[in-house]
Amino acid sequence: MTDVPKEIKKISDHIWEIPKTYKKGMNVSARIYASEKLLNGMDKGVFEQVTNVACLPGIKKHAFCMPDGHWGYGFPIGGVAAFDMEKGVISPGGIGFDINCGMRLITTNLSLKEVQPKLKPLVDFLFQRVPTGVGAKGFLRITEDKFKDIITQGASWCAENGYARKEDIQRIEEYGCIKGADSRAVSEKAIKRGIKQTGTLGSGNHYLEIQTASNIFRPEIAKRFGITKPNQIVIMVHCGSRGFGHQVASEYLVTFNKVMKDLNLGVKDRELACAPFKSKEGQDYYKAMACAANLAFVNRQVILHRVRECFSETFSKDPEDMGLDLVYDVAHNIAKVEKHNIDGSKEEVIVHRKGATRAFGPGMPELTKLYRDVGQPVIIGGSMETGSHLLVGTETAMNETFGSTAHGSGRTMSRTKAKQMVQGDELQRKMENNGIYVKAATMSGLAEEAGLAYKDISDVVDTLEKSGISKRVVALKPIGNIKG
Amino acid sequence: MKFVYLEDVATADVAFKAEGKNLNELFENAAMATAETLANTKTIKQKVIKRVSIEEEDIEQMLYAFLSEIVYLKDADLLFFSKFDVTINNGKLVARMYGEKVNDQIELRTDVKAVTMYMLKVENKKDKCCATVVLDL
Repeated sequence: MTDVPKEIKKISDHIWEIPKTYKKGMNVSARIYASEKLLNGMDKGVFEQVTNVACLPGIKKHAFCMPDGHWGYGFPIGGVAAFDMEKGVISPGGIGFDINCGMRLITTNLSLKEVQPKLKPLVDFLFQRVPTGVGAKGFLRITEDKFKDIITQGASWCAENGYARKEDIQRIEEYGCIKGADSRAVSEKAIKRGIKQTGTLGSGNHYLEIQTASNIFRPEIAKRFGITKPNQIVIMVHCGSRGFGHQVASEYLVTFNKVMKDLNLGVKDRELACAPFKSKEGQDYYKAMACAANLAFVNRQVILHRVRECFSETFSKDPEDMGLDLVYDVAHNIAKVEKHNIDGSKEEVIVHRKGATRAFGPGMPELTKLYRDVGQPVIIGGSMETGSHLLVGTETAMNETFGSTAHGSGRTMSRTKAKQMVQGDELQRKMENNGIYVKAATMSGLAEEAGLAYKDISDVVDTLEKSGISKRVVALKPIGNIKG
Repeated sequence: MKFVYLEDVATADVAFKAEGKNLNELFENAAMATAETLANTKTIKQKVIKRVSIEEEDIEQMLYAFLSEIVYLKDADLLFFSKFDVTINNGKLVARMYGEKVNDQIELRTDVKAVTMYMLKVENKKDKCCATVVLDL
């Protein structure tokens, strides 16, 4: 049985629209990017939530949901919405508790043949050096003042302190620093919660994965991104701003609920609390969110530093001799001020992407010169059993979705149910038989992330390709994984 | 029943319903449900006592703030708890939380990012109090 509302209209094979008349208070229509199969599989939370988003003040064009969409807090996961700078709002529910959760992809010049014999010690070593799971401490020992520098400077702090190559910074969304970060908008508690965790992976669906390029779809673009041959080894990292970002989000949710009450804005859902972007609370949250986003860029950069050390020790070579080049780092839980074409003119808007990735097409001045002529690399993480994808942003995304695309494959089964169906140790053995060596902080955590709990990523990527909001570049297959 | 985890409320996360004969007991049981998500509480020794006080008129916001404190202390002080004593009086909560710092003996489970306000509800009836809570993992 499907939960798709009967009012939905087909715009094309991969775009569906819920009209403004569907619900009282909708300022714009909602658009869902999905194949018919993915649409029919979506839970009713998606339709409820994307139309709630369409009711928010100052929303532009449409409220969007990407093909990996599923129920979330406030916005659906896969939600994208842009708001007017003056009349619009900012909503923590459009960003998520894990501010700047994101993906990072690193290439090597190593082949599967070279890595296979040392895969197990390599994964074991990474597991030891990149702390995972609940209660883990990072290796950076920093003072509160230093932490405040980190959250305002972002990834450039890493370059100045020996944790990044200069060229890494060019290959991070917004060059690893969201402007406007101000540590005064962040509580002491948030700092205390995050200060020990820089360089940790976290738990849940966060992971560090060794992969091979299993299928190269667009060799010319793949080459620009540093992938030139089948079975080339790459590394993917998925994590966010850890407890620091979680605390920022939790505290501002309380603030925003109070603002909603004071301003007498009817709250459909407490998790969708918002404040006018230009209000004091709206601006304070933006400054604090930018701090958390910067910490997440730093976190992923410090992890890359560790990855380089682990490869270097395992293969007894300099990291540079193995490549270990950053392809790109993208945020998929964030709000940003960006310029977009709306009704024929360029306009500054505050774009929310929650479980959605920026996918800027060729020619965008915001992109690093390295990729400006081809478009931005887009990293889509799949479940640890099924593989992931490297794509590229397109002009279609610029014209249709505020330069946004999907972020992953999306959960379809609860963690409890996954644990009832799968035993962690059995899954570990099964994966090893399939050529994937996995180390996890807990066996129950591993079972929760079994492939059967997720949507088929190939359906998601197929929809992105056919709707044109991103183009496939390389399919990536896991061979080693560490997870929290 | 002290608490029960709910199926199919939040696909990617954990939801629970907690009960108690009064608000104090309800808050203690909701705290245990949160602590059990983080780690097997049977493996946590009660070596440290942490005092928490919260002033909040709205009982749901009070529960949100109280459970958020457990989540906060897990990261800020690496503390995990296995026993809670809660007293609520006239919009003021005072709690004693018993536990210890993270160590190899504790069977850790999954991280909790945040307590959410989704479906957050406290029912305060004469002979029974209950609450539903969803945790973001």
